[in-house]
Amino acid sequence: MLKYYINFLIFLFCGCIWAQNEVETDSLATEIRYGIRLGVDMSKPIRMFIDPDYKGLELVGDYRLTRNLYIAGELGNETKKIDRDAVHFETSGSYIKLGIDYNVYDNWAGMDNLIVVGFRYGFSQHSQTLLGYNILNNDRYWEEDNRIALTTPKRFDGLNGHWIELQLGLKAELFRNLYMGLSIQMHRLLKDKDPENFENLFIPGFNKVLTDNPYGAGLNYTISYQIPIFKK
Amino acid sequence: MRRYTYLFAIAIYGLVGCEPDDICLAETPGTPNLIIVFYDNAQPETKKEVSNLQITGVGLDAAYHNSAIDSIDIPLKANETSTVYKFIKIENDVTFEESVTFKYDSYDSFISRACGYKKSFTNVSVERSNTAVWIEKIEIITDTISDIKNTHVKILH
Repeated sequence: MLKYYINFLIFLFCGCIWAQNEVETDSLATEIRYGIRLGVDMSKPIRMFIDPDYKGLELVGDYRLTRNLYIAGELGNETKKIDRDAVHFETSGSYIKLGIDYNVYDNWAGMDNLIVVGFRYGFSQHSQTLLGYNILNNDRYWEEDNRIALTTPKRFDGLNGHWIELQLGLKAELFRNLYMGLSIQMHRLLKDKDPENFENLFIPGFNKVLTDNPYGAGLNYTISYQIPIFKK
Repeated sequence: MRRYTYLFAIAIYGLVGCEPDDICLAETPGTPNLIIVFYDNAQPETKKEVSNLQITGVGLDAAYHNSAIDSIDIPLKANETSTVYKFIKIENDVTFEESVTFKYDSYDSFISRACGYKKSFTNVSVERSNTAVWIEKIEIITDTISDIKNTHVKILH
């Protein structure tokens, strides 16, 4: 898992440096462009390529309200299978995140790069299927196999999660109206509907859920296009 | 902008690269053992030690326990609905052997991502070989075993 993160990081890193060089040669117009920016999170297909137990798609979008303030959101769907010693399960579902992005970067005239501080409210609707588990037995006298594979998996439908998240990110304009973005997200779970005699261990959009800790983390790497509407 | 990129990369590494992995702590209560306390048949409220008690699961060679005690906890088979133990008392080089069958139902309850589930036992009952050798009476104090806080079975001898 760690190897995957490191590789991914190197990939992102190169992307950022490359993006920067492009931006510096951008045209020098003085107007601020307003429009709807729509994009896709590229980290999800990359993760699918690396991790065969993961499927995901996320669309991102924002709309510029003022010079530095945007309405922003993400819409996605994720399926993740986790096969650990203690539990073997699959979570599948959709999520939506809505909120604002605030740009704290002061651009040179004509440039439109962003350093974004964002705030979101996230909501998921998902199902979780228990495929197998381990019985914790500290006394090994009988030397039993404590691993249980469920011949009929237990499916729990109608689960959900609510959370808030803080996003920190960069967006760089590679070509006119084409942006590459990178953001990290820190989530805090507010409440969730757990399956009976089980727990939400993964929530689409939220990622891994820890047992005694409401915090989680995620990242995305977006390519988006701004549909220009008007200029000021 | 480049400065920010470096900072950002470090932040991501710190946040995502070192995501804590849950570990099941050794002291986490798992499937509970059956707690047996030995009492004096003449004074049923007084604990009485069994001198040289050997407890062995039927089907296994190694003894689970082998010494003088007045209480013990023994594991039940989690994947089956009964467990048989031989309770062997050795007194003055004479062996008194008795086998006891514990019958039960069970259910699994979720603990955590790292620890999985634990088993609890319900409807616990006892069956004994026909003739009493050294055990006078076996009393079930509670027929549900979900923790190891209290005595589950009382053996009078």
